Amino acid sequence: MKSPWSTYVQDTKLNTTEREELRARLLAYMEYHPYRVLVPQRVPFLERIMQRANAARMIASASMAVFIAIIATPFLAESANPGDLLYAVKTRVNEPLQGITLSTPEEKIAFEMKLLEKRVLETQLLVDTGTLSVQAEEDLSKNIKRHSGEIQKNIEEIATTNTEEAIYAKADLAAELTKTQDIVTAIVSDQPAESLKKAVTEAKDVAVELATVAATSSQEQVMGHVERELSRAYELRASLERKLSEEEVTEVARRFSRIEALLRGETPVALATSTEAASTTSASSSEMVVVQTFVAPEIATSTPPRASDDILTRIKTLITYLSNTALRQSVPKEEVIPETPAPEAVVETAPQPKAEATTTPEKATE
Amino acid sequence: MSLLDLDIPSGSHQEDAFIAAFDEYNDALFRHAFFRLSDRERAIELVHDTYIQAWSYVCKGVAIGSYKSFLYKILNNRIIDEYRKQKSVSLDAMIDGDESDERYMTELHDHSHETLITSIDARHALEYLQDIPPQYREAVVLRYIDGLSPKEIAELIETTENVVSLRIHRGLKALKKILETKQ
Repeated sequence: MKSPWSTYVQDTKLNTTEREELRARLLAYMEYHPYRVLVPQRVPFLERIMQRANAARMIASASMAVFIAIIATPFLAESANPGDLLYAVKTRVNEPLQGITLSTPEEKIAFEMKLLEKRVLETQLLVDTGTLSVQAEEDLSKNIKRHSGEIQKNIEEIATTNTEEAIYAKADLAAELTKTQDIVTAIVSDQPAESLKKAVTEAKDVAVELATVAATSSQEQVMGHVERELSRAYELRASLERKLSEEEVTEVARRFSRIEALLRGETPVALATSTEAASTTSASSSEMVVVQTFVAPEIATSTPPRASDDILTRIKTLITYLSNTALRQSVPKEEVIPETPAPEAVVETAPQPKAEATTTPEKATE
Repeated sequence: MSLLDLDIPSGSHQEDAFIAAFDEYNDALFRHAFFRLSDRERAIELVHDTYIQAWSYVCKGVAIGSYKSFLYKILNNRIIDEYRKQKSVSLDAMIDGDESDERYMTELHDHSHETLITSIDARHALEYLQDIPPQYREAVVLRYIDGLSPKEIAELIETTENVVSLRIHRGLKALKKILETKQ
């Protein structure tokens, strides 16, 4: 509303300078105190409670799932076979945990030997059920190498304090792997399991070489042990005198003759000859057992180093063979090796014919 | 309706609206402060403080319906504070009688504002505004310099329309009396 005084007051105003200065001061203030949009996060109380409850429930569920997975997985893995998803848990988690309380290298070696036998049994099982897949073969090969590697590592640990014991342990390992190779080769003879055979052979070769090298450096000590082990072998043979089959008698005689030849310092050619001679006289070999039980063969004083190196391994292999034979006589196979795998282990592979070694005529002549 | 009277939600709009309010009302506010205080420098400072305080309220999220009444309110309060600093006497004590007493309302009927304002020499009246009581001065300035209606003035100073009219009337009567005395 225009008043009568308007005319007189219109000229009362800020001049340009004052206005500009005032505006500048105001803009500077606004720059230091900018306007910020405040969006109130007003969530209803009940909704907030529900949100927190949901979050807590999710965390609890996830934790329980993880807990169950951690607890249940090892149990489920125990029945896994090579090629199964949880097999790695069995071999990398469960088995190491079982050996966690072992403190000495000797105990660890014994434990790894048992695991090695377990691998052989698993191989037997897979072959029997026709489920030896490529993945299973790979798992077995890897684990056999790993076990032998662990044993060698522990042997080296023994060697730092007791050289003699380390030598014998190497020889034991070589013998064990030789036996393993024989068994696995027999088990998978009808299977295209070349990688498994190769893995076992390589492990055995390495072990034998290490045993040979170790024995070379301590020949006198080795010979003393050779005598003791040979006597033990003779005793074992005597105890199994009337329990061996014809083939087993022939095999045992062959091995003994080889060892004796090596002790006499004979060459490999000579060895072949003596082997044939020994194998043809099964009856006389039993007499030889009686004589040899009480009369140890003369150990050549000038036995070539290589022969004596090999002798200990051969004797230990022979002892293992005789021990297994004795075990087979007393314990049926079915009690040791499970005939059927766990249901989860059955995978779809091409059915393999079962190896019936004891009944086929071809197998008997080998 | 100008931009200043709209609800502006976003930040940049708030700043634009505020700057527009400065451009539109800075002279009017200065004029009001000048005639209330008769001190140019002090009037400029009060206008500056008024805008600063207004921006602070905006930043706090205060919803501003009308920048005009909002700015006048802040400025009026600052001027009252200024009076309190300058004079120790209560402003209410300077008022003649109880304004709420309806007996004083009869004055308005006998001597209307229009009659009084036309009988006063405006040019000389502006010189002697400082000599009338502050609350009368406030009402006269808001009415005849700022051009607000008695209703708007009542809303601004938080009183009734009748009180505003009475103060205007008494302010004009006091101005007339001073002019007659000077002449």
